Amino acid sequence: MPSLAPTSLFAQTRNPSAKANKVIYLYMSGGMSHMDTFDPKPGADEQGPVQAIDTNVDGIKISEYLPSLARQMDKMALVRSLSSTQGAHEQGQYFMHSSYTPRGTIQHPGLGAWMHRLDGRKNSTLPASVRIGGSSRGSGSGFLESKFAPLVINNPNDGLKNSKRRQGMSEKEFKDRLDLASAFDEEFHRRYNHKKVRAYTDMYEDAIRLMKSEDLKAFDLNKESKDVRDEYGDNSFGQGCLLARRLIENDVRFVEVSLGGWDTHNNNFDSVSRRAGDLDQAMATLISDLERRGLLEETLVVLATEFGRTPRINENDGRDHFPKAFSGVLAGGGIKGGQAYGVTDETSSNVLDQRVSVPDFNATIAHALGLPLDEVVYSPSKRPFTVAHKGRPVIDLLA
Amino acid sequence: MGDLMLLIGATSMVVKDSAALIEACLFLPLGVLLSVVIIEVFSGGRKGVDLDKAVVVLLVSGSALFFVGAFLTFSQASNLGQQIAAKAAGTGVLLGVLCAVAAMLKQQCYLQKLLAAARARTRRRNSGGGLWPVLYSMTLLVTVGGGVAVAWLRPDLQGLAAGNSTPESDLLVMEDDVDSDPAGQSPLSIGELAQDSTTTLEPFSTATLEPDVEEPERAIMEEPNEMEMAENDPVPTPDSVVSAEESTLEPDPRLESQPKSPPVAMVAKVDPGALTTFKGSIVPMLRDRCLDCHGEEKQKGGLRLDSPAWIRQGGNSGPVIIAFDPDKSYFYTSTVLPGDDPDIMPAKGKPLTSAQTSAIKRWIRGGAPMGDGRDQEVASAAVAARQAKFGRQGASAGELAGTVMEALKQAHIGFKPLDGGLYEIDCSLTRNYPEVKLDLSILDPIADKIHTLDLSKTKIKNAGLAPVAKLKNLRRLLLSRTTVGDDALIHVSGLMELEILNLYGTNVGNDGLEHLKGLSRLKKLYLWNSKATSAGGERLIKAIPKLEVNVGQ
Repeated sequence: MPSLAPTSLFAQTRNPSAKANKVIYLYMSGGMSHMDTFDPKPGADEQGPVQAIDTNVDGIKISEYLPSLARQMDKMALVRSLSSTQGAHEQGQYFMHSSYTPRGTIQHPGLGAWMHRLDGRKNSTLPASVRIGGSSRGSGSGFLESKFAPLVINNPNDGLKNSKRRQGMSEKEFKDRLDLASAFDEEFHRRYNHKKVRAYTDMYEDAIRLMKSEDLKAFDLNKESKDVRDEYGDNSFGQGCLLARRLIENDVRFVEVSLGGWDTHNNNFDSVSRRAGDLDQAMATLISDLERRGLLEETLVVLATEFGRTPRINENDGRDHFPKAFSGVLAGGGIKGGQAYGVTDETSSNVLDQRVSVPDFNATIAHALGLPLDEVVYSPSKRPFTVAHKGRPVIDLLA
Repeated sequence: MGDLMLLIGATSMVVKDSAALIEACLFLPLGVLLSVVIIEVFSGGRKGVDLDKAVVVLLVSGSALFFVGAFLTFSQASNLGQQIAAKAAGTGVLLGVLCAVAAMLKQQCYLQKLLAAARARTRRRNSGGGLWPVLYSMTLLVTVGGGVAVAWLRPDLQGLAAGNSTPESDLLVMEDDVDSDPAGQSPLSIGELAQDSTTTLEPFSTATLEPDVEEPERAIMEEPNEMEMAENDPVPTPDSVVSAEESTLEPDPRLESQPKSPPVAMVAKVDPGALTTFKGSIVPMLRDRCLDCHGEEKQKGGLRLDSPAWIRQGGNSGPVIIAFDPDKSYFYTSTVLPGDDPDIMPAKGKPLTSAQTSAIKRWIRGGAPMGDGRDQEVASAAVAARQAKFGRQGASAGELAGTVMEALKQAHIGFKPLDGGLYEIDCSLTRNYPEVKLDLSILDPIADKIHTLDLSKTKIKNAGLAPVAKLKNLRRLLLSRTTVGDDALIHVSGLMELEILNLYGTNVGNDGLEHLKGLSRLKKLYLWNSKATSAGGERLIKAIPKLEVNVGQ
């Protein structure tokens, strides 16, 4: 007989006064070296040439590669005790984004899709979630309908491609064609009145609404001054962060921006210093830009990666995959800044205290957003799933 | 030797699952019959010859089935795969065993005949073969009869087996749960509930909480969507349950049970009729179809269904019943899956009849009462949880008067209930609807309940802000990227609770900030890209020392 203590049936994990309602999710693709960024261990042999510098919070040091972020430390909460079970890129990325490990039988939705599904969209003309660069592993709509999938933008400088009417086509011609198309579809829709069929119609309607929307300007980085564009950094990640800010400002709820190239098996210190330079400039600017607009109160900025890298420096002067202990960052809406949560040992190899699993990390994000962690959503095959897969939110990280 | 291995391997698979074993036992007579037939085919009815070939065929087919079973187990890690595997393996083992038995019978039979003939030669008297031929013929007869009987009686036998295998659960009382029982009485077992017809709920109201209309069957692909349900679905949502409850004072509650009036109360009452359904239909069904796997002996998926306390607790993935909401209750949804779905419940045997599934649905829609004294409490909690959610999604909102809610919707203004009965009002999206004029006076009826007012990016003007002066409990006011100027802040000057004020990108200058000097609780002021300067901010900080001013430097 199982001796389970009967749990409270209708536990209110919902947090109605959650402060954040939008997310900018910065994804460090390839596995960001935690020792060389947010969890340095000055003096350890494994540290290599990287120095640790003071931040604007007493007692917290981060890598010298991140000087601007060091000055924003009071707004950020470092999570130094992340621990994953997936040591390969594809599986790790999928796990980090969806909170579920990959299975053969189902695709799980990412956080953006969950947020849209559980809490709706805010701006009815712009998509609820947008992904700038990066891969779709675990960040798509999964088993949910395709309307919950993020809009993908590969190059932030191009904005939203193909969002204008074809040249020479008048408004009326366009409308006539749409009417014709829906006349063709009518019989099919009547006969197969299914969710998936309707989802296609929704998609077309969304696209047309977006084409006509004033908010389409949000995708156009040319509307920003040169100064602001340079402030974020003249690289794809920096411009992606700027685009993310513009979209968030126009009530898109979830924007993911990817920064690749962290898979530093060779020549770790050179590569990391370059990546970290881009990251430092873009993320620090993003935080201060959100702050001066008053958006940081309601926008949660997340920095995540699939795993850390081995403290041991390999023969190619690189570091290899290391899911056992690594770091992430939460900042802004709903987060208690100026803290480093979790402790690793003297070589950043083991979590000593306050281990945060990947579902816990995502549950913390979901909780800060006020998403119901216990709300079961059924897949079309009627299997039950929850956002963050039963992870427990880390209350100490929340404001 | 091979036979033995087969037996051990497959038996372990089969015995893991006692219901499968029972089922396998039902196939036993069929197996014997099959074996006898195969042996007769291969031995051509001749006496005691070529038995080896027959046995080989039986063994080969048996092991083939076993391997198919094993393969399915590994390739299809699901309920279905395991079921198929258990059956195939069970059949394989039985074929192996049975062919050995049949072969022995036949060999013995003819051996006996030969011996008898030899004896007859010496004694000149034929005794007719003795016991073995009779046994062989009897086996044939019994297996044919048994096979036919099993084909007819299988469902009943299964029911019988299920009933027999868990007689104890009738008397079961969960000691663990006694403490958590607010009424202080031991939770009743299923058996007690079925017999004890006096354990009824107090009739709270004679109103049936749902209109007695069967819901049209949804397409299988369709999952309930909250918004859709709230808007289009004729099925009563908790809102209608609530309004029905509210209307119990009315002379004819049935007439009032449509969701017309705004929801006010937070308590829903369970339908006493549902308790009758529970005792009449659900309990026998539980006993016949569920307790094999979710009873005292086995708790698949951590779910146990032999007492109300266990039923309420749910399984590993949480509660299986959400009162009033069958479409969110796994206890219901899992029974109406397509027959070939690996997750359908019951996992074994035929799917439930439509009468049974609609009884489950009725019961849950009526609040899922089980007569253990906790019905009302659990049902109320379920409704409260639902209401909180519906409020967030804009379908209803506790105390927010229906008219205001409707007006806000019309004006494309979002609202979200917060702790303490306060609301967050979001006007920022009115920018997409220039044809609707933004008039803040529609907030007057809930003026003292507004915590956050987001007017950012709207076309609001100084004068339009006048109604804001009445929002006495306002904590957060966002005016960023509007054209409001110094005079707008006159309306803000009396909002003593205000903590956060966002004036980024507005036309407010240092003069306007003078109006804010009395706001002693102000903690944060955003002034970037406005006409105000850091000097103006400094002056304000002198008046309000705790204030933090962000001018974007």
